[in-house]
Amino acid sequence: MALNVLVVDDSALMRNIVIKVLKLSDIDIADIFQAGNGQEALEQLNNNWIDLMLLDINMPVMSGLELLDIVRANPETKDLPIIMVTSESQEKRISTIEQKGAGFVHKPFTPELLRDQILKATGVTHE
Amino acid sequence: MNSDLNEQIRVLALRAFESMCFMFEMDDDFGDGDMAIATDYKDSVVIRFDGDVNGGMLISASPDLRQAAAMNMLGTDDVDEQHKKDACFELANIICGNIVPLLNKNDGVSFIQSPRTATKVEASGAAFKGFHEEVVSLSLDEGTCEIRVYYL
Amino acid sequence: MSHIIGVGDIKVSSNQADVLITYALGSCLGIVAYDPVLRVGGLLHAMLPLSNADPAKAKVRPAMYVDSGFSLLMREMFAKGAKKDNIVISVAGGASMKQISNDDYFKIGQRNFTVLRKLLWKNGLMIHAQDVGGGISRTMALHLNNGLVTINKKPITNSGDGMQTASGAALAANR
Repeated sequence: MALNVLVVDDSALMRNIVIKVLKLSDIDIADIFQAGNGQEALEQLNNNWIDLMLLDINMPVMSGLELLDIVRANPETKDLPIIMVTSESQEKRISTIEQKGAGFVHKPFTPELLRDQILKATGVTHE
Repeated sequence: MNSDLNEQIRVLALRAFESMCFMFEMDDDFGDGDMAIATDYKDSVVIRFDGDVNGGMLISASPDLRQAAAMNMLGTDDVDEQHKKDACFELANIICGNIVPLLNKNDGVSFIQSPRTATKVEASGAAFKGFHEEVVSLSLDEGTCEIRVYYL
Repeated sequence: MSHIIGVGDIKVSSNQADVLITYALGSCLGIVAYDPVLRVGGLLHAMLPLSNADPAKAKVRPAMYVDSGFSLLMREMFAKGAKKDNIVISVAGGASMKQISNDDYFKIGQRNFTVLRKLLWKNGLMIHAQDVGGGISRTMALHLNNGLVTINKKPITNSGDGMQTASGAALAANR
């Protein structure tokens, strides 16, 4: 089944990098949507069916951590596969991410590391 | 200068350049030749942080490094001024995000603001009078840069 | 038949009976490219990161350098009909060779790998399997009939004869 993916980051350059990795990963992608902050991402989630979200933390307007809480509290999106992609390294800011059922990729990352997390989150086995 | 902290900043910055920009440090011992750091830095990027620790990080990159960083991060030779700016912003974001936990005092939390072009007062360091300062100069295979971290 | 790929050498084959093998990858990088649809594959044993270190030498022996060697590997793969979208990349070597001899440097292995990663990203390719870094010597082989890549490792020693603690590892490159 082809997947709809939402990429949320305030850096257009970082969204482009993540999208390039998505396209090079062995997953079948239908559409890729983009958002520059948590608020824009909420609108995208309301308007489109999303199968996977890659989410930055430190963003203006609404942070990724705020969005994660909102998404998990909504019955329609509570099981959405999410990968947090962030340079945030403070233990107290990131310690609850796994409890909230999200994957985690720390920046700086290599394309292969991000790909492996994408494959894990989408259940594609990588030999 | 705190030599332990300085070395940790250097290692974290090099890791960011290696992973995201595919660049490596030039090394005099390695026979890489002239290690002079160019200082004709035009645009500096600043990131402010506040909370458990207050301060800012400045990163100034040589023109060739800005160009190569954008090209390498995006994996294309077709880059414009905006791409170069975005690349420096994102590198600053990544390096600062990794450094701030080293500066926190009581295992507390600090909030990292978005990167932006530094004002003259920030770029000269005058905006951070009285702050602790760490300066790290990097000579990479595709350019040079200077990272300054100010904290209280 | 088995073909031994020397240091700074390359071979691309479409013969299903072939096994390409290279020995003693220290800081050098062994790079395998394989098209599982066409069953075409190649193995490069590159020694140094960048050909601009010695352009004249690179012209005569492009496979010595990661950048010129990788370009040659891709060209030969495409010449045999391989398609970029099918190509699977496996990498071995890039070890740290500190204090082995005056000719080996600590950082060459890492630089070799960094340069390769840049070339792959620019060409829209990703590493399928890797066994890189550390202080060990590796032997890498590609079986053309099924794309299987095997790697044998042993510690690097000054005498060069190694200790007989080789362990085998197989990297499946036939996705």
